[in-house]
Amino acid sequence: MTLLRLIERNLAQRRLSSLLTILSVALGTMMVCAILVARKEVDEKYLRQAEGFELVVGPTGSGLELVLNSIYHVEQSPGLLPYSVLGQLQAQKRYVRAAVPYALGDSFKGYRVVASTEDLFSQYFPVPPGDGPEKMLAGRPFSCPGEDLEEALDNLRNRKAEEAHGKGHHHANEAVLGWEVAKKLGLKIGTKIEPSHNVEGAKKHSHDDTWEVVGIFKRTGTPIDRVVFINLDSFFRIPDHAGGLIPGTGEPGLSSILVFPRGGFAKIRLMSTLRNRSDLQVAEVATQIAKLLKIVGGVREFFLVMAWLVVLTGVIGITVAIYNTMNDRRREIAIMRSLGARRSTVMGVVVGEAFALGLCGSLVGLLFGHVLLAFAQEHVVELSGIHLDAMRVLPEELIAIITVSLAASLAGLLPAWKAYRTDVAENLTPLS
Amino acid sequence: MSIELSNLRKEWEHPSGVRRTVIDLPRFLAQQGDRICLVGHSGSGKTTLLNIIAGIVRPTAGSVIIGGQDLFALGESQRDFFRAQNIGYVFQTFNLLQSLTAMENVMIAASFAGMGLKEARTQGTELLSRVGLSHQNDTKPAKMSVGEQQRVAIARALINKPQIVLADEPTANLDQENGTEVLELLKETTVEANSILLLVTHDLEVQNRFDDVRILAEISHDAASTD
Repeated sequence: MTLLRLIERNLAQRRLSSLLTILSVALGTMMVCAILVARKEVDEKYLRQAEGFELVVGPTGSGLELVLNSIYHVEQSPGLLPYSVLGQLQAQKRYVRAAVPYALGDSFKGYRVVASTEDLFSQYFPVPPGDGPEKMLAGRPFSCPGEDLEEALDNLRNRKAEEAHGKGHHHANEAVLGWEVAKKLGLKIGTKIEPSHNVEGAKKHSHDDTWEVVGIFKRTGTPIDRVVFINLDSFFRIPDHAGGLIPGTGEPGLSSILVFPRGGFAKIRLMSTLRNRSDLQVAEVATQIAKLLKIVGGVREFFLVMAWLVVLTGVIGITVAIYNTMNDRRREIAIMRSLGARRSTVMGVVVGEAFALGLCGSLVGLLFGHVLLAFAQEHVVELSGIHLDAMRVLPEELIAIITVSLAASLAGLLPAWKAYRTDVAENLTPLS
Repeated sequence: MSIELSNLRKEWEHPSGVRRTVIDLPRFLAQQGDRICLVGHSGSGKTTLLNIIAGIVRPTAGSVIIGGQDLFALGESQRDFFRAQNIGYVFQTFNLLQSLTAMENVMIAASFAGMGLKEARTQGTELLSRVGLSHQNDTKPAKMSVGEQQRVAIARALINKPQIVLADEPTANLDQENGTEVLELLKETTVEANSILLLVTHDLEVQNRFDDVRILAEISHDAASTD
């Protein structure tokens, strides 16, 4: 105990040097911990959030972009897909259990607005789990009657959107909110909301369309929590969305269609059929995520190596900080030896100081790492749609702390060796 | 416990390669309860002799038998533990650890002898009270007078109830009043413990307070060679 006190006092006596050394170790450990947690969280959540989603059909282009846009609600929509594809997919009942269309283009106070059909509330749409009202925390699913949708589409095809709007007061503009949208914005059932045009929410619509909040989804822990869903017929009734017609075809467009195939070979057959078409692409969610994690993984490993190098610099700093004090401490060591301290005890005190610096540095780094994650949370959500759990401590982090502490102890061996070799008589008192 | 030195010789080698004999002692004996004042002029090898008895410095030749144990037949680690348990050392320059409090300075010597923390604290409290510093337990050396520092050093030397107390010019850095007090304290505590007190000095005042005064030059083989 007294030796522990001696270690503590020795470090306290060189307060500034000790603090700077701890800080340098902490910075490296902070980066390591933050990267480890972010890696784990992103991997798990990307995979978990995509659970239950199988295929996304969309315009030709990047499959990864399509998946990111449709499942994680990040990135821009890659383009438009003919609305008729939805009908074609729904007609293939042998292969398709459900096909849920997505039409993007609007936002509400920073949250994406996605237009869809009542299939969004079917049991096949995986989040929130359940069928119809089971998915709801409050209220009910929106309605998207087939006749209203057909009427809106007809008007759009015939460029009669303005008229449709003028006459369309009897049509329901309904919205179902993700859990986070409702909570953060304090929205309740019955509230009227007015989305803005384009996903950045920069432009307001040229008219005063409002949507009534009819339901709030249960919390899912997925990007769905941050989405405002509206009925697809209301989306097509917005006059500004006349531009949603695919150029050259006059056909209304969708951003993507989430397809839930039947079991067995249905998925393979369906993919094979769709891949033969040149006007669309089909992206398998699992494959695209694996591709993304592989790309991101390489970058992350690079940053992790960099972080460990910063830790190494801090550990070398421990050696330097203690070694530089050894000349001044020869007398202290000689005193301890004269009182009966073994050489190994003296070495132990020096190694103990190095260990204490490493342990303190890594613990402070752990704390800093999680504070950093907490501060970065909002930014990460915007970038990736992933909500990082900043309070999650991984076993890997504890292993990192043990590794840093042990490395620090090893760093203490050089000055400890110098302490070990200190001549007692020479440094105790001058010869008389 | 006794100290028996036989044919003890210590040579130092100068950087020039010339060897110089600083101790050449045919025989030296001290029995339990002896309080010996060893006198020698500066450079006569007094401190070296104490360091040899403490097992810190290995003699060039001869034997050092402490309580029947040949000190240098022990391995270094065993010798360190033997020193911690049996020998208390008081220095001219006190040699307290500046980062520790008075109590911690006393207790650290106990930890090297394997004494438990609780017992060390009890002993430390008693000893600091015995040397008149019960109010200074948590004071660091830098905030104590030189006399107080030397008293802490005495308490530290006594915590393991050593059979031998070595004191190297313990009053040299103290004024007369403090010097006298420290000297009396050393004598009293060693009388209480019935341990050997071997004190080296060149101070006549100090010598006069001892019955057993041995002059290093007279008990050495060739007094001239050590000068």
